[in-house]
Amino acid sequence: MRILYINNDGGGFADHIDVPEGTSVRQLFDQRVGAKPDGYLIRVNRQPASADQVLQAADRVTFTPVKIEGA
Amino acid sequence: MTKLPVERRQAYRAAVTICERLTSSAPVPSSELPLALWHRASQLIARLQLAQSRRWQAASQVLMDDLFASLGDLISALERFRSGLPPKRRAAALARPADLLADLAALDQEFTELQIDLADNEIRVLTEPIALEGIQLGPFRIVLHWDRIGTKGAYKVLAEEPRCPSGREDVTHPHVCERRLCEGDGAAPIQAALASGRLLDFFVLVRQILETYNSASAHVALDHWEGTSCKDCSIWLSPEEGSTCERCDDTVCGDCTVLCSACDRYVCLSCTADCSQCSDRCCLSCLQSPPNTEAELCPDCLQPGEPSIDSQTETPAPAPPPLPQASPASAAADAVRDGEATVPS
Repeated sequence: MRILYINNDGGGFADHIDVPEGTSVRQLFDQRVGAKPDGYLIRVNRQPASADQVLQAADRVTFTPVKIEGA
Repeated sequence: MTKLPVERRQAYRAAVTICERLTSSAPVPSSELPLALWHRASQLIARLQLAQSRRWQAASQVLMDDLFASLGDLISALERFRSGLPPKRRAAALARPADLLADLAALDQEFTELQIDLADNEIRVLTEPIALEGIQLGPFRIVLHWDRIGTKGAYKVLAEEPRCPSGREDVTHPHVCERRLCEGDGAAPIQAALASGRLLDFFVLVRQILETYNSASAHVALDHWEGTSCKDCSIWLSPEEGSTCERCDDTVCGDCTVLCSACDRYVCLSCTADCSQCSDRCCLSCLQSPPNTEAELCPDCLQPGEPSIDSQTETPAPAPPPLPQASPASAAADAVRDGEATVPS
């Protein structure tokens, strides 16, 4: 199924990707980020989401680091 | 027909306006094409064609070499021009009005306050009060000018209750100077979010930078945020350290504090000098110079009765009123008091 995946870490990524049906938020995070989830703001459709929330088609998933160092 | 609430209508109008701005603003190259190099190559080709038509072999070879070099320069310049162009934006990557409306609704929940100013083309959000390593910095207002997206200065960060370090009113946060956020690691995702119209992501990214302290790169370090430096030796003093000079009210450290031996005030080194005679440290106000000398003497060293420079410069004091004539009886009594009269045995 197709979702909108946005990763605001590093250079940033925002595009539609295909993920298997039944993929959870945690599974997507582990595949795409691989860091500790508590260091990120995780949103599905602009709302906080639990790790075991199962993604639906056309969902908008956003991962934003909690700590972003300014200059 | 049900009317939308005012706020929702404002949000809808803002969403449509921002969407139009995102889709209509084309990236403008910041530099010009290398026309001079193109002209040079064109000239060389014309001269080469002339040389070849007249069978000038040597000249043709030289011109061919020049043309190779010139074309190399032209290609390099064109590559530099292309690399300086803004990245291509796919129409599908741009936010639609529905996306922008959803972002505005989410901003209303994510932040303490959301304001949409259609007249000034601004979206403003207010953060919660921010504290970094125990230093309270207060809440910040992030102001996005949506008509300036894609340019420097598209947004600014304002301290709602400024708590600046001593002597740096332009710094309201370790990473904010003159209302501009130094984005650091957030620069690329911020630019991407704005270019796509992802307003929620933009404001959240700015907020996360404000909530993170990077001690390696701050306009003013947090351990220098509260306090000041000694007026005399510049050593840093926390709010609990240091004392105040009782003459000039500046803050000084303990090592630079002197007790004036004349007036017993605690003063800074800058407000004192040594007595020229006894070397006691005194306030500049307590030291005086006798006439016709450059010496500065403390009150103890200044001889009693010796007119000070101040007395000579002051207007003469009025003459005391004449004493009343003494009667013979009082004169005799005065004589006894003075020890001059012979006391009859």
